Amino acid sequence: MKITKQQCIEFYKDMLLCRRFEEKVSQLYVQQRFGGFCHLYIGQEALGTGCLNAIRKGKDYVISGYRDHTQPITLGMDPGVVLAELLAKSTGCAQGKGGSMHMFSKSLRYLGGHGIVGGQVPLAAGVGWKIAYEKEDLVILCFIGDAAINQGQFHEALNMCAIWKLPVIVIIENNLYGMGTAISRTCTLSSLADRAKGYNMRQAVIDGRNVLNTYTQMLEIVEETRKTCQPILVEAQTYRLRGHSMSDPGHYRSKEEVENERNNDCLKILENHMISQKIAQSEDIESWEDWAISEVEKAVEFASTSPEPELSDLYSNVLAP
Amino acid sequence: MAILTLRDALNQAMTEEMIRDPKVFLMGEEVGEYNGAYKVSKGMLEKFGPERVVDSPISEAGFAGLGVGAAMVGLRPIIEMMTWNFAIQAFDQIINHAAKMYYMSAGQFSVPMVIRGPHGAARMLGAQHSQCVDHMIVNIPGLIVVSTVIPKDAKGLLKSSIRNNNPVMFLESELLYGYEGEVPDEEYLIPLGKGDIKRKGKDITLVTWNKMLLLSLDVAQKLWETENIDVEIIDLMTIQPIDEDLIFESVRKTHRLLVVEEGWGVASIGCHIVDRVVKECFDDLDAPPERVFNHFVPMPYNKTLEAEVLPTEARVIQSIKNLLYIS
Amino acid sequence: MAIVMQMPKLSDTMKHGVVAKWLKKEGDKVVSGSPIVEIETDKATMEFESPSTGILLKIIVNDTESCELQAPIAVIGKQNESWEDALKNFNVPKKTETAPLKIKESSPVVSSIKTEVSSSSESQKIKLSPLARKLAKEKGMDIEKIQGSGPQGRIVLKDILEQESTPSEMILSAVSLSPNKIPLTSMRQAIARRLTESVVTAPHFYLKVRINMENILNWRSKNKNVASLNDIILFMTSRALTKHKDVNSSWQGDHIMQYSDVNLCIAVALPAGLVTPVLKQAHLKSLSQIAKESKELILKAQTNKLTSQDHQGGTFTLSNLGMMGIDDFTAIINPPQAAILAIGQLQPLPFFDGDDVSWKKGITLTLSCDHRVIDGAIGAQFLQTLKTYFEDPLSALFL
Repeated sequence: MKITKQQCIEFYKDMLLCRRFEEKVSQLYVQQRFGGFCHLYIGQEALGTGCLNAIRKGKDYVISGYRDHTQPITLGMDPGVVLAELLAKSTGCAQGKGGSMHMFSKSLRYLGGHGIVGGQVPLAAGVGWKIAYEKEDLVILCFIGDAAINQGQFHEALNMCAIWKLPVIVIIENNLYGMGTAISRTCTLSSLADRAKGYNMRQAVIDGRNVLNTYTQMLEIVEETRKTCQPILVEAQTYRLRGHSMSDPGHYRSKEEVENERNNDCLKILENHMISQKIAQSEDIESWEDWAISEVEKAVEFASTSPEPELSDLYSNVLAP
Repeated sequence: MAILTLRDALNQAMTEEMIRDPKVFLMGEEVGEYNGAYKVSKGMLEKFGPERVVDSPISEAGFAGLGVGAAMVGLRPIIEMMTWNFAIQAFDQIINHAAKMYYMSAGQFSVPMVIRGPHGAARMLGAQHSQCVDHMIVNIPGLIVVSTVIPKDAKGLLKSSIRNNNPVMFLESELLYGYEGEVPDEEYLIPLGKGDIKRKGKDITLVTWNKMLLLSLDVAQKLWETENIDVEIIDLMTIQPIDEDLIFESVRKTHRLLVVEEGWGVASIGCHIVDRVVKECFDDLDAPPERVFNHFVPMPYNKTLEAEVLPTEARVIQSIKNLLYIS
Repeated sequence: MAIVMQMPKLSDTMKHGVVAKWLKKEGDKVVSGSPIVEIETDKATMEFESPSTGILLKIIVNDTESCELQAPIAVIGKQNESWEDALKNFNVPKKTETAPLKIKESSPVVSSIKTEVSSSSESQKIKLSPLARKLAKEKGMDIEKIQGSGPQGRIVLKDILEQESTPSEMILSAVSLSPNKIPLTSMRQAIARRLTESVVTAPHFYLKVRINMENILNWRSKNKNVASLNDIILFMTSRALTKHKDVNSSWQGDHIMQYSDVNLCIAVALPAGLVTPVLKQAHLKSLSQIAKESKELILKAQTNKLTSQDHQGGTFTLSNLGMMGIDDFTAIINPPQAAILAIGQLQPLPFFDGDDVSWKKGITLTLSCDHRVIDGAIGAQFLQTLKTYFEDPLSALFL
């Protein structure tokens, strides 16, 4: 599997945009420009970019947990629309009714960020059911955190995916901690993908730090799933460089560990690769940096100047017509 | 008109809708090869095959959630719960996912799904199998809740529920699956959100639903014959949203309200109805509204004790007399 | 700042008012002191003046509608002022002084229900169902008179219907015509309330006396144009009352009020009901003055021109049905007064002189007394004085 130079650049720009976006989100949050919970994707960009570029965007379905700010951007959503949702504006992707944990896009087939750990896995099974029911040539990616593997609904859903052969790809974004609890304290498996064994289901462990690996491994998994209509449980190894949420004091892990991971940052890995492979020069990196920052500024401008939802919208969308 | 059991009326409704719309499928425990734990789906597997009449593992949260996901992308699942007691396992999917999706996606993803099954006490099933959850799920914006036992109503309402674009919780009754009634031969729908006056009367308004309707009809007949008391009975049929106008109109005529409901009486549907009536019909009331509901205990196994927990004829009659100031 | 015009209290017994007719339209210019509206009280319809000069911005209580006293009925202000704002700023002032008893007194149907229900005094609290409350209000029933059949005596629908149906069913069975439902005017409501209250609260007893009128008639035949028989009765009564202040009294709940002034209420029957304008200080007036003033009062009553002044301060009431061919009758006391005198027609009556009976022209007077104020002997002495005055008119000068 050969990744073109152009693809490499696109991945880098996407990851960079996601990184700068989340950094801005973090600033706005501490400036109290918006409220609620705020879970950042910083450190995990390679995972999102690699996986989401391996599917047919806008055709294959994606569903996720609550660390969901940047996945829609990778799928093609205007960052301004995501930021507008964070700022609870009517121009947000859920018109200010969703918030940080509930990004949605029907046109991108992004079925939402979801706030109940593991609750989206049965939903993914339902989407897989629909694909199989209508014999479509599609898959669904379902992102979950590592701690979701201990939820009953995760197991119920995996079992259903297996018995009914549903084209569901459940991706465990293993960043090693469920909030402040190390996964090793809540699961005896050394490989989380082994949860699939109980359901006689395919499994894979992929590299979630090097986007080129993530992409190539996922591409294979996606196409295999599409072809066989068999579910798979994928463990993608990653690390979040920020806290679980903005209010995380981070006592559960050492400074050294975080520092170590910073040196292993997915953006740096790709940057080094591009320089060494002469895909890009430092001037290119700088110009993309400028581009990413200006994209984020545009997003801030759009979201800041957008109107709040009307009070009269309160009762709209409770029930469908 | 044919005489059908509740079970057959529900079966007809599902069968007709599955013929009409290939996006409709039925999933639940024992709905296929076993022909349904209560035989509601009898014969449907043969008719529609295992892709559309699906035996699920015993994973209520799982297959309820599967229904939500499938509905979000365009299918119209009917999820059968063997009983609503088991559906409590799926409350996360019902409350956190089904009910919220349309709103939190600002109208991008609707959930056209029916979750149906028997509700309330049957006979000597003990504490875990005899509960009413209706008052819990009516308090969730984003859900429609239907509760009915009359074959004709059940058929028309289930068909409407399947065609509705929202999650509809459909509550039946285990004891009354064999209850017979006339069902029109031609196709018909009954709109959701509308109640039905099952007995015209002028002395008191009795609001009820599901199997308490039958108890109420019996009591009304008896009081009419023996004491010339004329009870008007409103069968709500849909308990979220409630047909308030029908209740208000009747109370303005009779000046007295009684709600007979199965289930516990704390923060119940009856409470809500009384609240609405006191607010909207205050100057029309001639007596404080009355409610009859379950004793506030888990359901005992013993038959006599069980009968005492549920609303009884004697309690309903007493409440009616209280309303009429007859001692 | 625009001014909120309130329903005025135009009589001492007025408990709510009716706007009979607005004399100005919304948008009209009004001048302080000039008539702007006709108010119908329980006793009369009278013109009421604009409280300020400006534009009649808003009529709140329309023609024929009623409201409580001091309730806003209109807003007057400058052309561009907002009547809504004025109304918003308007706080219903606390009720002004009334006799202490009056506040607790059972008030008219409309407001009484409200005060009774919200009253903090538990003993006085009347329980009634919301429906019964509404119906009682609509039908103008006095809930204090209704015995509730519900729990703790709660008045319920049945009680209201029974209260109402008793008379109307009797009429129905007697004449099989559809009954004519006549809405209550505020005058009719006032009569109903006050007289019911009188009968229920004042223990009545009645004293009757036959009076030989020959001497009076003789005198009058010589002085025809001076006064009517009624005027003479007013005159004699006023003089008798100065002598019997204990009859010229009123019951005030915790005390009795005795009056030196004799202010005579003259009962005047109008098509809409009964009014009792007051002839003030009758005891100081000559017969011809009394004749003149009573004629004016009766004319005012008949043309709805009585003012609130004309209604106030009565100490004793006379009711004469003689001209309507009534022999004699017992009248209901006009509270809080202590007595009322009922006058029958002039007719030949038997008078005894020892064993001899002679028929003379006479009248029968019936005094209704409130036993809380007047005992039998006191009432009898008063009637005795009256009898003496009539039969020996000179004694009115000297005794």
